[in-house]
Amino acid sequence: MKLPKTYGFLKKDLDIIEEALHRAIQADHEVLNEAVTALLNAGGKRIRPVFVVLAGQLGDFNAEKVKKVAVSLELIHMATLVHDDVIDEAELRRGKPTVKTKYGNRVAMYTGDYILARALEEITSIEDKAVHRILSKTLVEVSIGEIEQIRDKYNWNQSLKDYLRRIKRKTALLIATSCKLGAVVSGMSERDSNKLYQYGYNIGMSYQIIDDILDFTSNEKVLGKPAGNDLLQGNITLPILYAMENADFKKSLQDRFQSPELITKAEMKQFIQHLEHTDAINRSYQLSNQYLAKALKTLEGIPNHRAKRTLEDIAKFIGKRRS
Amino acid sequence: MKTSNMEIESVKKHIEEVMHYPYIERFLNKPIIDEEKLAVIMTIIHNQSVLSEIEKERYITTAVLVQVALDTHERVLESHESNPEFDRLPNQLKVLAGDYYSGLYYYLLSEIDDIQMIHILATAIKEINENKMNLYYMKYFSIDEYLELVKKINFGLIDHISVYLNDTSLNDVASEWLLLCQLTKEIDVLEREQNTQNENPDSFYQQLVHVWKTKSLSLSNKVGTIPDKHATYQKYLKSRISNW
Repeated sequence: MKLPKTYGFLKKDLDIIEEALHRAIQADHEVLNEAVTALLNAGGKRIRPVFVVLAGQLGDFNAEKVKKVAVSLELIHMATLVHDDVIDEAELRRGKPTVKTKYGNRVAMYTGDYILARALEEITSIEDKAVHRILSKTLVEVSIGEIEQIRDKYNWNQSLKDYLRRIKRKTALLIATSCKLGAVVSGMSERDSNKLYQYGYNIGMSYQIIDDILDFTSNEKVLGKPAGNDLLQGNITLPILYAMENADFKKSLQDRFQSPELITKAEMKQFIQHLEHTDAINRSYQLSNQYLAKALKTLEGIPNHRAKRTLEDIAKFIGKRRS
Repeated sequence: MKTSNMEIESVKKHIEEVMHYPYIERFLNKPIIDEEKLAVIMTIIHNQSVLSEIEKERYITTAVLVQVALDTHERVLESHESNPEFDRLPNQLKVLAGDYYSGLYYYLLSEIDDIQMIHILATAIKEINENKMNLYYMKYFSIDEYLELVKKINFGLIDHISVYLNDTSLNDVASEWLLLCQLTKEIDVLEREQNTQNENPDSFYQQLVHVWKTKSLSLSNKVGTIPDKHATYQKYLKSRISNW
């Protein structure tokens, strides 16, 4: 089963959000319009809007506010992607040329800034102080996470704690915030809003860990980039951290990555094969499962509702994700 | 109204502390705060008797953060412009630093629950980036069209803030002054490039120089029209022009 089937009943809400997203990014400039429309049309899982809507349904569902939050969060996510592609010098995203590839870094910077500004214009039509305190704090944390990701590249001595803090900022916080804001604008109690925040945080952690595992265990056709690409870019992820507990493996990595640009596909394949012969992948899945178990646990006490069951199903789906 | 050089320095120092992020500064140095824009922003905001001290401090800080974020992103190079061995990291950090400053402006204003000001700044950023796109893709233009766009980009943020605070009395003079400052930088760049085209009387360089001369003359006359409530800024601007 595919993830979207889990929340098929949200189709009507998601269609409304999709329409609002298209309206939100209409720009006067032809190229800007073309760039942002192409980004939207490239698709994406719209996982943040899904969490906003589901959390909203658990409270007194306010369609207008939920829509605005969902649109803003997706726009923030999109703006981040456009700028990330400049940072990573990425040629393709979801199989299509990135904004920076098609129009250059300068236009990518303008496009990302434009989209973020639209996101904040949209969300500030909600006059709820709590919404802005939560979201603004998340935005700052996400930026810090991105800076630390660059800082920690090729740092072979980083700890598990460093990694977890990084993926928290990189992925988990925006999902946690999606859940919490959906709950807040639907008038849920602080206790339940916080539970949903915790749910989102744990789901986000698990999701990112699995993404990091798949970078080694999946293939170029599925990933849209070569297996082991994260490591090649200098990102030390959980499987590598576990595998580096073996001092010989750590040393061989350190030695070979003195000149990462010279590493061949065959050498990368060897590293991956070595990784697969260790318990690193299994242990990574175990940690991911621990986060999923926590996510499910935090939903206890939330009244029974179709949306709650869907949140549970999403957690279970993420645990089984192998591509 | 406080726009003495000492005041500007002290506000600058405070904003630099807010923006301080050691890892970024290790590779990009301290963010550059445009003092001329800061002086205008301070003048407009300090004159608002309806604003509390904390609001004034936050408005000035966040307006500067937005400007620095925009300026930092403007310095991101095209991939082919950068030397992959030395320039990749600073280029990456320019992207991230700009995003970080943008997050900070939102955060600082949400701390004082000023949702309207967040909206005003977001709208300014949106329009400035639309105008940057217009400028970037401008192929055939008259010097007047070019100046109009540069002015909108250069003064867009202050324009939005002044309209929101219902005090546009400085806009005419300040926008011209900031445009002149910008033109000076562009003329310097063209002179450094020592393009032979610069000799041609119809060249872009010669047109800019002509505009610069005309505008600097008319600005000297305009300074006298600054209203009394902004007398300190008038004094400040006179001294800046006379030292030019």
